[in-house]
Amino acid sequence: MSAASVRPTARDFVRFDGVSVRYGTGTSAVQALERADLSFAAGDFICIVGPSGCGKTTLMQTLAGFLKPTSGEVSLEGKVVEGPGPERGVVFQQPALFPWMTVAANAGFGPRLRGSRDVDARAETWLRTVGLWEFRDRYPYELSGGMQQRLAIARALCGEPKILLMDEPFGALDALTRERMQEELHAVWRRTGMTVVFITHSVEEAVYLGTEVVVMSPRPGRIVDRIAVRFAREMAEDGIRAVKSDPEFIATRERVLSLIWQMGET
Amino acid sequence: MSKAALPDWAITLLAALLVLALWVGVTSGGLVRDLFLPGPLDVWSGLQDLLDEGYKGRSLFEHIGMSLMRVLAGFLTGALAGTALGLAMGYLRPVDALASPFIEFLRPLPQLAYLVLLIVWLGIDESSKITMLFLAALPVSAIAARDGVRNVVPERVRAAQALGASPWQVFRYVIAPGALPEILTGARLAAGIVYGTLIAAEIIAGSSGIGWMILDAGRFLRSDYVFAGILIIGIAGFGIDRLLLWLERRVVHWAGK
Repeated sequence: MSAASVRPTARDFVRFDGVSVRYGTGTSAVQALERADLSFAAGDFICIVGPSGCGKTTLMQTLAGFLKPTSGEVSLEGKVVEGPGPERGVVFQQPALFPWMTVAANAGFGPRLRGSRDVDARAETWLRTVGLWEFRDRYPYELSGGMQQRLAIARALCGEPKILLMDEPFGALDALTRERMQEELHAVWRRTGMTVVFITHSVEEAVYLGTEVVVMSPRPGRIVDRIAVRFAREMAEDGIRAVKSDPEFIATRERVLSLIWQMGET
Repeated sequence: MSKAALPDWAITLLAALLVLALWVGVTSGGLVRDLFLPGPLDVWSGLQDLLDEGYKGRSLFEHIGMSLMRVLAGFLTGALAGTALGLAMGYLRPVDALASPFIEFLRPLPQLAYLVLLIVWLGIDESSKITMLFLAALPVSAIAARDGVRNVVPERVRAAQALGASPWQVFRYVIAPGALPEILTGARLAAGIVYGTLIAAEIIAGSSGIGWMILDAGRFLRSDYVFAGILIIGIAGFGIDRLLLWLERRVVHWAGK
């Protein structure tokens, strides 16, 4: 294929090249992110962990286009990120839904902005996928926290992004809801082959959801380690419970935890 | 609190009845002169008079209609212009820098302070009255809309941007509806201020309006008419506020949830 020669390699689906972000100026300046280099392939499920202030949200915001790096650049499929755009779907910790729109209108918001003709069909597909179709005429404030977050995910996916960016999406949910959401998200990922970048405080969550765990450390925020994980690919057969009791899973989890633990002592 | 505590509505009703009883008691015993406080029956017959014969060449409903027309004209123009200005101030920093000194100056200014100027500039007919009410509504509405825009949840704006919304689409679908609860609260506030300014506006020479009627009747010591006028103004004001509140709850059904 001749096209392959001009295209970036699969490994460079997303590239961070020496990305630094500094907030403020002078003595009060904070180095939120220092020369981050990171690249990964389409279809990867990248989990980013690290203590508060390690710059994981900052890293994601440069990819989302909400934040311009002080130096360095971020690119998706070889195109430098200049601002937010529909090829990068975002899900926040708080669902950030539009309470003046019905559930269906929230889901179809992205396609409707672009004047797509199949808005309703697409909204239906994703609402059915996340189990909210029967609530389509309700308003977001009539839904539970877990349902609201499912709607936020459906809204992001309905925009047909190439990559889904999630900033602690399940952080505000109770433990049971959280586990169910993890399984649902994972099922969507397996079915669609979507690329996901997922920020979390939970090391365990990162180790069984991700194909790779990126560990970051604070002051200044930098990437300290990347650990390839195999459980995400196997979870379909084994199920979440089997994975969690696998000795290798436990070993990987302890390795990441001890990395983060060391940071706390410095 | 005792077990036999009265429900709230009963307390409200009792309070109203108590005031009425006091009113009757004080006036019927001849304790207070008619001029200072006419009894309920005097006010009632005064109201009858006004209904039957009108006041100085106009029926009572003409006076009420004139006043409401002025309130409505001043409120609508002031609230609409103020909201448009406030939205722009909230969304575009330079507009805020440009307009806010004038708005902030105008807001606490008592309307009576510039009454004379309006008469000099615009004459004594409707335009000076409505302009006064317009100026009463404008700053409150502008500041409510500006704050509404500023208080829009930033994640919602980002969510829309990440779904491909242009700056105009962000404004149209996220900022404006996000600011709507505060805009409507501001509108209610503005309606109250306009209503309160009505009497001042009707000081400007004329011969119509319920505010003018109260002032004029006061000059001729017709306390029964003054009281009847106050009752009408009070009840209409309460009704307008309730109407706006009802509208607000229907339109911004999501507010506070």
